[in-house]
Amino acid sequence: MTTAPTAPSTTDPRSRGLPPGHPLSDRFRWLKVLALAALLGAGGWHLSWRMDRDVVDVGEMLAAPEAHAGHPVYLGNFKVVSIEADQAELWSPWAVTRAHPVPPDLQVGDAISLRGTFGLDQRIAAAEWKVHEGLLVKKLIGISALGLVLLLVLWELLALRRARA
Amino acid sequence: MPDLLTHAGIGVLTRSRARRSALIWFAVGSCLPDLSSRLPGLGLALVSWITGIRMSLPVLEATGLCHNPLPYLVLCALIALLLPEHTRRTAFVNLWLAGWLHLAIDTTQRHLNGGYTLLYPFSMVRWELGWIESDASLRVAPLFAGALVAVLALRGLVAWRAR
Repeated sequence: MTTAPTAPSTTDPRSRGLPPGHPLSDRFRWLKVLALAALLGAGGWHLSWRMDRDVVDVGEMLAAPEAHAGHPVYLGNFKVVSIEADQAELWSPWAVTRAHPVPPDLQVGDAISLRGTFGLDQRIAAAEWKVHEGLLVKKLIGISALGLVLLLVLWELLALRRARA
Repeated sequence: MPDLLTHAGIGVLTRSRARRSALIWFAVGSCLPDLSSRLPGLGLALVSWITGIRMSLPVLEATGLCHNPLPYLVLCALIALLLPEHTRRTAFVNLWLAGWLHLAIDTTQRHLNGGYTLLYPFSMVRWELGWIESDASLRVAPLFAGALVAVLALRGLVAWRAR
């Protein structure tokens, strides 16, 4: 004996609010979450692999200055640790280096980004400096925004829960 | 990046006439590209600063993934799937559009590294318009904060009078 096929139930909680088969429906939800997380992980690995070809690692340059000497490059963000005579000592999470000449308005503690040429003396001959102004204010705003975002999401989730109840 | 107050302000003003749920997800999406891509890097830099351990550059670079349009779209889908089903579409669409608005605003800035890899993973070419310095938004941030408060107060007043 055969039974007649039944139409998908519109009250099925798995398809509420979304048409059957919608990519965001609950079917295979955690499998999709894992697949997307894996995709982002692979993307992060791929990005760093591609970036290694575009951005020069100052740590690598310090280890092998002869391989990189003379190539003008963007060198990333640094913090000015000290200034002596015509050179500044710079810190980043992956390297400590020195650059020269120093612009007259540069101060210890400044956050900068730098473009220049790496020399055989293991110093950067700076072509262009950019001091990041208001970085502390930006960070404070960022921390406040993070708190606000978390509060908003929590508020929305609580409202959704109340609406469902 | 312009500061998050400016991003959130532009986001809320853009979507100020939407219903509350959509507005919340749009406001969150206005900040999400920076929060998802800068926070892990800042956290790692902080750990490096405190412990003195040198961080690997590839690890730091990988944390910036979601500040590119396509990976950001994947992140939105991932977040939407973690939410209750009946809010997924609203959350996904608003997070996505707000995030892309954020990225569009970011391209108006000028950086020494040449800008953003908007076509990643198809191309690593960096591009930006270079109209304003990356710190310029701080001067208009108080204005956006005022507009943000005004819009939210107006919405609250309208909701209160409708009761």
